[in-house]
Amino acid sequence: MAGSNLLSWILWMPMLGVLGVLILPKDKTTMIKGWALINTIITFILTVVLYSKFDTNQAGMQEAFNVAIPWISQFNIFYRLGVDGISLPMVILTGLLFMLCILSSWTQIKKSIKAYFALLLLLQSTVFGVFFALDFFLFYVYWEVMLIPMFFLIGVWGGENREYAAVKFFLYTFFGSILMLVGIVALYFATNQSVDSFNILALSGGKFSQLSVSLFGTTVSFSKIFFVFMFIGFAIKVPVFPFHTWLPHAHVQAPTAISVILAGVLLKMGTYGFLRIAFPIFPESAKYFSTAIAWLGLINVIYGALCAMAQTDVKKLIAYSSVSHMGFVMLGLAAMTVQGVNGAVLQMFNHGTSTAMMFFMIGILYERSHHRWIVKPDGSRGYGGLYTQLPVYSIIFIIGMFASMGLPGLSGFISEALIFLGIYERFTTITVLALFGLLIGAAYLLWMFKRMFFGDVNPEVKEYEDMTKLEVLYMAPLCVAVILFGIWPSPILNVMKASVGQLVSLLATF
Amino acid sequence: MDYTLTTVAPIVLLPFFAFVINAFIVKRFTKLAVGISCAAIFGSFLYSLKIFIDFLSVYSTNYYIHKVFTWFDLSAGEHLFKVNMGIYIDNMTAVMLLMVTGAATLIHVFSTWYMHDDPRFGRFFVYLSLFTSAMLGLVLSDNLLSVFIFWELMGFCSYSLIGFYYEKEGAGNASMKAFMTTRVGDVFFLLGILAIWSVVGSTTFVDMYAALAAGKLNGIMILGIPLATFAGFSVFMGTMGKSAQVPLQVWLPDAMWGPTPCSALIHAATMVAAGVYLSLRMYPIMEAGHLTTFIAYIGAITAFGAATVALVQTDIKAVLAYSTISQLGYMVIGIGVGSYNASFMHLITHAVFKACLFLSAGSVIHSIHCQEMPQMGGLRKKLPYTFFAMLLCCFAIAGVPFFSGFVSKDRILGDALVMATENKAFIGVAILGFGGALLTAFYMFRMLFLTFFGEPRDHHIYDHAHEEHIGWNSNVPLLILSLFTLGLFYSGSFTGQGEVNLFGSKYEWFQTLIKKPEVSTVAQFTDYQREDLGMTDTRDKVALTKAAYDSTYGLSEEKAHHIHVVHRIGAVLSIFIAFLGIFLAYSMYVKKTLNPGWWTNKFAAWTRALKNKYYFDDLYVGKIIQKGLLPFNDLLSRFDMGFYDKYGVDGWATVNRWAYSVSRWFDNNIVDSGMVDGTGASVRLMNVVLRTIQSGRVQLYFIVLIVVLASYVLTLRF
Repeated sequence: MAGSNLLSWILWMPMLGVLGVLILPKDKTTMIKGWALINTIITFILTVVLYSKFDTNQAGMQEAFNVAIPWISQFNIFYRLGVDGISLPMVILTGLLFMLCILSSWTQIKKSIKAYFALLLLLQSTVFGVFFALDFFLFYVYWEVMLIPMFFLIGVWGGENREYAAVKFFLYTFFGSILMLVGIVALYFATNQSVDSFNILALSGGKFSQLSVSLFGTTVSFSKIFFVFMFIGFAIKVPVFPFHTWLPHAHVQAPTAISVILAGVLLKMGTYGFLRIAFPIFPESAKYFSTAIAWLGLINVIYGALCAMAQTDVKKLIAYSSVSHMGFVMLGLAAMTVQGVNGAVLQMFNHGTSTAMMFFMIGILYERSHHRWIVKPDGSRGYGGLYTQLPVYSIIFIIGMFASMGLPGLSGFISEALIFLGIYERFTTITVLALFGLLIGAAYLLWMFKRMFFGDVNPEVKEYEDMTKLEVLYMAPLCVAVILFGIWPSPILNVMKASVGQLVSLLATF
Repeated sequence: MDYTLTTVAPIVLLPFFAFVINAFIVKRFTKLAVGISCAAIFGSFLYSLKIFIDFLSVYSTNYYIHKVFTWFDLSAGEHLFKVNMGIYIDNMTAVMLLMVTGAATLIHVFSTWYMHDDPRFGRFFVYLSLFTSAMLGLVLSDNLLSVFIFWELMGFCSYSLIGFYYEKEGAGNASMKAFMTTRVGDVFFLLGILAIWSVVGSTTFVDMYAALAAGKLNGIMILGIPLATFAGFSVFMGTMGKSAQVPLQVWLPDAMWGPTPCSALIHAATMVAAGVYLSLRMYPIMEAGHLTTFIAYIGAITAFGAATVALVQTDIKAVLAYSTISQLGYMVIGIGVGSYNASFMHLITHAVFKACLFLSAGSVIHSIHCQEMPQMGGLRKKLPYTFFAMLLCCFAIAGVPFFSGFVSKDRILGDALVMATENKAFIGVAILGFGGALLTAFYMFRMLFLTFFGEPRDHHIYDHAHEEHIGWNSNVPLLILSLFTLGLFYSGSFTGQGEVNLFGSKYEWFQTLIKKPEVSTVAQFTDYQREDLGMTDTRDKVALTKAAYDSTYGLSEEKAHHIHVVHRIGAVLSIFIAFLGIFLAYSMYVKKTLNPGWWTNKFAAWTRALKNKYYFDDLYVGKIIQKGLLPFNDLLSRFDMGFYDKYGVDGWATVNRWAYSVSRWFDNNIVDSGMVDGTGASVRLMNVVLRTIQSGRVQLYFIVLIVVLASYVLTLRF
């Protein structure tokens, strides 16, 4: 296929999958699963092809892959796709995680299989859309459409309180989207409805730094006010404190695969939004607010970690740990130095793999125990002695846990070290405080591990089987990823560094 | 000897590959896995021996090899940022490599005996290989970042090995405690790395020394503290965690939950010493940061305090654990009083005799399946080789002349005494140091006498002690290690350039080769350029003049004389103290002329404090964690979900419901009754719209919000 169509192929391949799933009869479940699996494998291969054709020297969008076709010409809305070093790691992560999620859902999903796989593939397509879109309107469309499959996937296949969690997730994100939409509309008029009104790249570069608007009678900077709008829109997705409370609900209620997607990919869409939209379009405001962003990131790190320590539900604990780890990404972004932002983008990828491991692992355990209590509400221990009972499971869990903790030699360390190095040069006090996040981060994970895995075998645990071959199969790529990129991060850093460098240079001019 | 990265790498990679291979085959071929691990570490040992011999043949203080490669590169456009990794071998590294690989090889061999009937025999060797590889990586590191990486990897191995018997609850607690306590130090260590990195631009030792010599670190304040103090303190916190210094010493006694060979390797010989090694490497920064007094006192308090706790321990491994903490304290005193060379020597000698002590304790425990000394006694007839090895080691640690511990500890104490005569602030250090030495001699011989002398106190245990179960692979490592407790290996000269003198005189290979990096001589590094991968080392290997070997070289005659006299007093004092300690132990536990029970009754409050390890655990776990941190976390979590989320977020639903009732009222009373009748169809349409909005679906409120906001934006003036 021609290089220029590759992005469209990746984007629409899952839709082809949706079509296939819809055509297949409802009771041929194996065929549906198989089709979805093949489809995601092809998609993943396509993302790898994209990686192999990627030119690491180009800082901007890869010219070979750019797509720009008029879509709604009256409003200058284009079907505009592109990929650069910031989006490519996310694209590969999306391709990888969805493929593994299909495998994980293979036995775990038992009701309405057809609808589930159709929605999962639809979700994949919209996620790709968010990462590829270079037209603001298109971006918004994908950002919004993504909520629909997500809403149903949590609301139908989730836990006992799934409807509440789904509605909360939907409304919260939607609230953020509205603020973003206002920003889009404002930009549309600020650029005099020109041909580039929705072109993210053309809007970038700090063109609105001098503009001011009159709001409720006072004159305020256009850039600042709409940066805040967009910031809130994206911050809800990350989630940045104080917009984080939807996350524990959504995670606890969502089925395993959806938790993985949520933590692994969807949260990164928030930080990706900063990198692609909020920062390049309003660089002066990003710089202006960077101290505030750093403090918010710090609160995320510490507050998330402390809350995680108090949890007795494993999934909720991991959900709060995501809040904490995404705080590191925010710190890296706020640093606005080459180390910090590279670290942040790398952390987006690494957190995607390590947290996916954690959610998969707890899902695998849930299949056996049908509960997730570290300590049951009545005070008795939920697990205990898993190390003795499930040796293979324990080893993979340890890899995931230590990767998540940022043990050197595993992937999380390099990104965290880079983030700290980046942030240190600008905000020393915040660095000193954020380092304690590493301490608490180790504490809640190890304490959880101790309570679940050490000690004599809990009688309930005695019936659990160790991991099946299928489970090992879909955990293996993630194990390889966290170890490989912990020792050798260059494959990811090399693709992102030019694009990140360009963004940092832009931010540095203000 | 042209060492390049690729030729040195096997030292680290052999055990690492053993780890990788074993991790996959361990289930099916346990014996093969064990063989691979042992062969790998033996290969590393041979290579280290070659390096050591090469460095001895050069015999120059300043000779070193430094090779770097780029780990990853973030340079883009005008931004330049590279992270380099590399190897740095100087005399200290060469000695360290030999010690680590030598001790590790012997401990591997010993483990084949000690662990052979354990169901997780193979898995033990997997961790052991990974650990050795990490330790060797740390020793070869040329920069702080890679030290940190290997440092944490060792922490992971230590965690896994302490928790090796994972079915025991206590092992789980101990492993977590060890990891978390050292992590407190590690967080500060990372902070120190960041501080240095941001100023120096790299974290290699040579760049750091060069920056220090060039005065780059002067005048930079971090949070109101001078950089050198800030960075030096932060890194020293890492040392305090890893080398179990007060107040972060609490984890090491609990680490004894691990199998005994791992205690010997990790918690006695290598990992805990890595903290001291790091501080030695960072010495110029710490000196520049005026931290020496602080460091000396931390070391002195640790050395003395841990020795006092060791007095009341009844578990043989616990005695050794506290003695390890105490001896590490002596090394830290050495750093604090500027006794760089002796501190490093004590690291090496301690590694040898403490590894041997742990292995001996391991043979005892494995032979009688008991760790409590009150149930032992009279075992010297049953375990003669073990007894012999332990006796030599006890001589060494107590500081009996001709043994290694004397050579190194005496020098540290002598230097502490010199410092005390020059600076009153150090008097306390000297007192605690000598006091600790007395206690050391006492509690080590108490352990020896309780275990091997007297009548068997538990005949059941005694009769079931099986000497015949002990094989060559248990005794040979013990005997080899005990041989190296002799002082002449450390105080003599191998090459004939110095004079052999057993009493710690001037001309010793150790003192010649290991010199602290003086900032004045460090200036030579200022024009230092990084070498690229694979380039050969072209610096001259100059043999020094005889005068340069003299420890008093460059000092005034008067001062040299003073130091000489004080050292001599110190030596006499420490010999006296060693024999006094041994004599007291002998009187109490063999002759029984003194009754230990009388002492414990007389000082009951003290004994209680000692049995409770000075209440550190109560404070940390009982007070700070149980009473402080965990309730606070619970409160925070309740606030988050029970208050903030419930009212702050879901509370908007109530606001919406309120808005809904207002708009319904508006709809019913004003729109319907007031206007609809008059205006007809168009308003009725409007009514439908409003009714739809009022349906209670919150999404629709958002759509209204969009429309309102969007139309407001339309009216904005640009």
